[in-house]
Amino acid sequence: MIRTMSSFSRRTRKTASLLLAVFAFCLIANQASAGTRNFTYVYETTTQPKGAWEYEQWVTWKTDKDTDPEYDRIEFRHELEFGVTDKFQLGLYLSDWRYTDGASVSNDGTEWRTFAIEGIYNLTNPTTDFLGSALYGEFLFGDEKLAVEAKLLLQKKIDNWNFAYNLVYEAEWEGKDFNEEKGVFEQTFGVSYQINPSISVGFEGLHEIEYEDFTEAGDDVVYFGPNFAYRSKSNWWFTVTGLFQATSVDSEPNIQTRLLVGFDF
Amino acid sequence: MRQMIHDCQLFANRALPTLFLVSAGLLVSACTDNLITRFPPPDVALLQQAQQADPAITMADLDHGRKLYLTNCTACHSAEPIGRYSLSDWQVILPDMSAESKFNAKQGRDVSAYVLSYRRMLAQQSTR
Ligand code: HEC
Repeated sequence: MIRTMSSFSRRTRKTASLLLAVFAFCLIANQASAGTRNFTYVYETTTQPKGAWEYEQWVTWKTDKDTDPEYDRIEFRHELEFGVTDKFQLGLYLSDWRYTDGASVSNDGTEWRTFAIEGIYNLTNPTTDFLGSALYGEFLFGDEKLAVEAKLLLQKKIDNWNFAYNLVYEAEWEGKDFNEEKGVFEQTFGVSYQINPSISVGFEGLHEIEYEDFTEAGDDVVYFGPNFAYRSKSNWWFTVTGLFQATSVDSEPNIQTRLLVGFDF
Repeated sequence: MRQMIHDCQLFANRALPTLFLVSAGLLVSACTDNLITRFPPPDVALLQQAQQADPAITMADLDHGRKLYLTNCTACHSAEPIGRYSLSDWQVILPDMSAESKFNAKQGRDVSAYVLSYRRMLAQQSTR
C-alpha cells in the first residue's frame, strides 16, 4: 500500500491540476460571495452557504528556536472551500508546501508536502443557540506524510464579541516508509472584538502536546498572541495572527505568524 | 488503541480545566446576552407595519426574516443593531448584504421585511 504511494500521489497531483482548472472556471463564473475568518489558528463553527466558493491562501512563518536562532520555516497552503449545503462545507488543500532554512536544517529549501480534504459540519449556531458547535474531519496525504485530524469546534458570538474554542486530535505517519508515528493533542482558543463590520481584533492561544509513537508524551507547548481581521467591501478579506511561545520548549519555534487571505466568489 | 485511549485521558486531565473555564465564561456571558430584546420576534404591530409596505407579508415571513438576520447575516460580522442605520441606509445595505449572503428572492424579501418594518417602528417610537 505504501509502495504505491508515490505513483498514487502523482495521480493526485493530476487531480489537483484538474481541480485548479475547475476553480479557475468558477472564478470566471464569478457569483456572489460569503464567508470570512476572525482567527487563523482557531476555526469557527459556521460554514460557507450552499453553493458558495472561497479560495484561501495560507502563509505560516515559524522562526527562532532556542536550539537554532537562525531557524525559519515558511509554510504555504492553497485551499478551496465549497458550501455543499448550508451546514456542510468541503475544503480541498490543493497543495501544502514549505521552505525551511536554518543551522540545524540538513536539507534547506523548498519541499512539496501534502494534499488534503476537509469537511466541516455545523451543528448549532453561535449567535442564536446557547453554544455554536461543529465537527471537523481532515485527511491529509503526501509522499512522506499521512495524517487524520478530528476537531470539535465550539463558538459563541455575543454582541460584538466572538469566542471560539477547538479541541483537536491528529494522528500522523511521516517519513519515507510512513513509520514515524505520532499523535498530537491540541486545543486552541480565541477571543475577538468587532470594531466595525470590516475590522475585528483579538487574540488566540494554542496548546499542543505531541506523542511520539502515540505513547511518549512530549512537552506542553503553549503560544499566545494578537490577531487582526479585515473584510473588504468587495470579495476579499484577510486575517493575521502573531503567536509567541509562552512555554520554554527549546526545539519549538518561539514565534509563529499566520496570514490568511480569502477570496469569495 | 488502548494506548490512544490512555493518551486521551492524559490529555483530558490537562485540557479539561481550560475547557471548564471557557465553558463557564461562555455560560455567564450567554445568560447576560439578550437577543429577544435587541431583536424582538415579530408581533401584530410589526406585522401591520410590514403589511403597509407589502400586504402579502405574513407573520411566518417576518419570523423567517428575523431568523435569517440572526443566523446568516452573522456569518461575517455580528448582528448589527437595526437602529444604528437609517431607513434609507438600510434600503441600500439590504440588497447588497442579501447578495453577500447568497440569498434567493424569498430570503431577501423576508429579511428586508423584518429589518425595514422594525426600523420604521423604531422611528415612530422615537417621534412619539
Ligand atoms: C460575506 C460576508 C457578509 C455577509 C454574509 C453579510 N455581510 Fe454585512 N458586511 C460585510 C462587510 C465586509 C461589511 C463592511 C463593508 C461594507 O460596508 O460593505 C458589511 C457591512 C454591513 C453593515 C454596515 C454597512 C455600513 O454602511 O456601514 C450592515 C448594516 C450589514 N453589513 C448588514 C448585513 C446584513 C443584514 C446581512 C444579511 C442579509 C449581512 N450584513 C451579511 C460582510 C457581510
